[in-house]
Parts: sequence; C-alpha cells; structure tokens
Amino acid sequence: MASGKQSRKLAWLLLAGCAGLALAGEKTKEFKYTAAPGAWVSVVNNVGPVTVRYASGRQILIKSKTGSDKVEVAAEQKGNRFEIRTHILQPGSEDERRVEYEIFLPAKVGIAVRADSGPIRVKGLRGSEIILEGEASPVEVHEIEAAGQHLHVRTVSGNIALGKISSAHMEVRSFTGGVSLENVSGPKVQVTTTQGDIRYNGEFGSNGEYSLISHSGNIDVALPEGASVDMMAESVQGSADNDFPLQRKQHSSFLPHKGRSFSGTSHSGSSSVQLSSFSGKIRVKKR
Amino acid sequence: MNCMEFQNALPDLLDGGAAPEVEEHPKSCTACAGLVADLKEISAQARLLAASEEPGEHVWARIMESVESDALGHTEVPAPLRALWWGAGQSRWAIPVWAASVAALLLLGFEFNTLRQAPATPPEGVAVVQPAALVDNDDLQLLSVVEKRSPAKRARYKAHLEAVNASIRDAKRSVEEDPANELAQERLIQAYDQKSALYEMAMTRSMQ
Repeated sequence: MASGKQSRKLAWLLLAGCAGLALAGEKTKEFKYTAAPGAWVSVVNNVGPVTVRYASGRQILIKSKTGSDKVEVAAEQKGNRFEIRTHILQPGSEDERRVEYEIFLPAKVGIAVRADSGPIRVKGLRGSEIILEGEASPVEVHEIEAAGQHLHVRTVSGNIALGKISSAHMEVRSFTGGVSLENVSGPKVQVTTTQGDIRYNGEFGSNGEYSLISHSGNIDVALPEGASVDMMAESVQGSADNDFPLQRKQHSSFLPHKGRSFSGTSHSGSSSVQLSSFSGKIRVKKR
Repeated sequence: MNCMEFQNALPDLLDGGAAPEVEEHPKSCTACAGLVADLKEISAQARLLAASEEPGEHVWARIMESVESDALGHTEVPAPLRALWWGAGQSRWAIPVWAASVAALLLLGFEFNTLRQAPATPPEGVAVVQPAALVDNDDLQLLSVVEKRSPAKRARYKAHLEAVNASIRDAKRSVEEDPANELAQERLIQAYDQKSALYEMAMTRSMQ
C-alpha cells in the first residue's frame, strides 16, 4: 500500500518536472502604453498567432509569450508609435521560434501586423486603421466598426476571412489564398487575387463601390433579394452565371456576352458591384 | 555627402535637378555610381519595351488609378520619381514600362538599402535564365534576396512568381488576340499590379 502511494507520488513529481522543463523556455511579457489620439501599434512576428481585440479606455496592452530562449520580444515607443517585434536570437524549430501575441487596442488606435506564418485574428476594433500582412498566415477580421477608416489585408498564400465589417475602405489582396467576405460593407471594397477564390455573402450595403477581381480563381456571390446593386460581371475566358433577379439597364455601354458576362440593377442600384475574372467562374445567386 | 543622403536625393538626380554635391557623390562612390547606372539602364530598357500600339486615355487613367490606389502601407512615391515613371511611358504603350519600372525600382530600392552594409555583388546564378522556367532575371534576383533571409521561402515565392507570371502571359496573349478587348487589358494591368505587389511583399518581408 505504502509503496503504491510512493509510486504515485514519484509519478506526480516526474510529471511536474517534465512540465517544468517544457515551460523553461517560455516567457511571458506585458507592455502597457497610454494611447494618445492617432497612436499606432506595429507588430512584426514570424511564427505564432497574433490576436488583436478591442479594449475600452485609452490603454494599449500587449501580451507576448515566447516559445523558447531562441527568440525574444522587443518593444519600443517612438513618439505615438509602439513597435513590437520578434527577434530571432538563434536558429531553431518552428516551436522554438514561436511567439504568441495578444493585443488589446482602444478605439481609434491604428494597428499594423506583419507575420510570416502564424494566424492573424482581429476582432471588435472601433475606428481603427488596420493593416494586416501575412505570407502564409491566415487572416481573420470580424466585427469591425471602421467608421470610415481603412482596412488593408494582404497575404501571399494565407486565406482571408472577413465578417461583420461596416464603413471600411477596404483593400484586400492575396495571390493564392482565398478570400471570404460575410456581411461586409463600406464605401469602397476592393478584393484582388491571382489564383484564390473569392466568396461574398451579404447585401453590399448602400452607396458603396465593390470590386471583386480574380485572375483564375472563382468568384461566388450570394445576396439577399433586397440588395440594391448595380452589377456588372465579366470573365474573359471563364464563365459568368447569374441566378439573381437583375433588371437590364436601358442605357449601357456594356454589351453582355451570354455565359461570359452579364449586368443589371436591382432596386435603386445604390451600390456598384464589379465582378471580374480572367479565366475563373463567376456565379451570382439569391440567398 | 554620405550614401544615405545621396539616396534621399536620388530622385532629384534622375529628374535632372540635383545639387552639385549630389552629382559629385557617385564619382567617389562605386556602389552609388553602379546604382545610378542601373537605374539609367532600366529606364532605357523600359523605353525599348514600348510597343507600337497606343492605349487610349482611359487605359492610362486606369493605370494611374490602379497605382495610386495601391496604397497598402501608404508607401509614398517621391514626386520626382513618380514623374520619372510616368514620364517614361506617357507617350507610349506603358504597361510593360510601368511594370518593369515598378518591379526594378522596388528591387533596386532594396538593393540600395543593403549597399551600405555589403558590397554590391550580383547573387549567384542571377544571370542565367531558364528557358523553360516561368521566371525572368529580375525574378531570380528577387528570389536570391528572399533566399538570403530564409532559404525555405525561395521555393514558395518562386511558385507564386510563376503563378503571377502565368497570369501576365495569359492576359497578354488575350490582349494580343483581341487588342480591343478592354477587359483583357484590365486583367493584364491587374496581373502586373499583382506582380508588383508580390515584389513589394517579398522585399518588405526580406528587410524585416
């Protein structure tokens, strides 16, 4: 009985020791700044997630967790700009180079995130100028009240998912990554891909200018019947199919080619929507 | 005048309105002299790329709009340098001119930034063009810059460059087959725009 208890105790000690070893290289840091109007936060990371969330008040809070002693986090304040950067001190595995960032951002503070491969997630920001760049990093942006600010997202191969974003001047670009937009609206929304597919689900707001362009990726649009759009869709070598009730314009310089292009308006046509592809398929349907 | 000050004054020099000390600097600095020579060569080569066909004013307007709206990161192009780019092409068919200039100047911009730390030696293998490969000399040079920072990334960027170059090739063919096809022209402009953005991304990442 006693030896059973001892064995259990030994096992717990071993387990605790292993956990301690595993966490030995992990370091957490916190940086706090008081943000004046027009402040900017810039984050550069290699491996690991960067998460940005809204915070009330005027304090910027940045938490970082490094995966090993082979990386360190350096923070620097330059006037109203706060720069946080991952420095690789020695070569190491992906896990060893991993740094996780969690950023809490007050309203109207700009954020720029540049990452190699870790996911970039942004949620709930208000009135912030947002610039997100990732190579293979997937980017997710949700619940943004942009208040007329810019949202620029660019990836090389990472997928981009945008949802519940209003009043943003958006420029979204990827090469092989797909772009998905759900209930996204703004005065100007421009999405460009080379091979990635583009998917839009929403009603295109009102008085906006939307441009979804892909070279060889497909473009799929689903919109509710009440959407007020002035739409033009055209694929040079691919196809363009429409299942949404559009009224043909009485006066138009655009000559539709069956199966390759179409155009028309619904309701007052308050938002302009341009769907364009070189060899991809364009499909528009009623939601 | 040091190399950094010279770099800042480079647009004035190329614009023909530089102070005497700016013009003097490359005479005593081989790295900066090489840079100026390269820029002049690119400018000359870009003009040679001009084709006989003139685009309409609307195409120019679209190119202007496309470049002006390509403001991710709010990169400001100095006005004299912008004038150099546009001046080189405004009277000609300028898509290749614009694309070559953007790509090459971006590349040279990065190269110049590194000149002060390292001698300007061409990366190994840059001069060799693989006929079957869908990348050109500029691309190979870009890839060598990427490789210096992260060897594993070379293959990935090469694949992306090939994809973008394929899109340029396809759109070009389409324009050649039907020069009046405005949509094909737009897609060609867009394809070049994507390539310039890819260059910018590759080099931004490489500089970090």
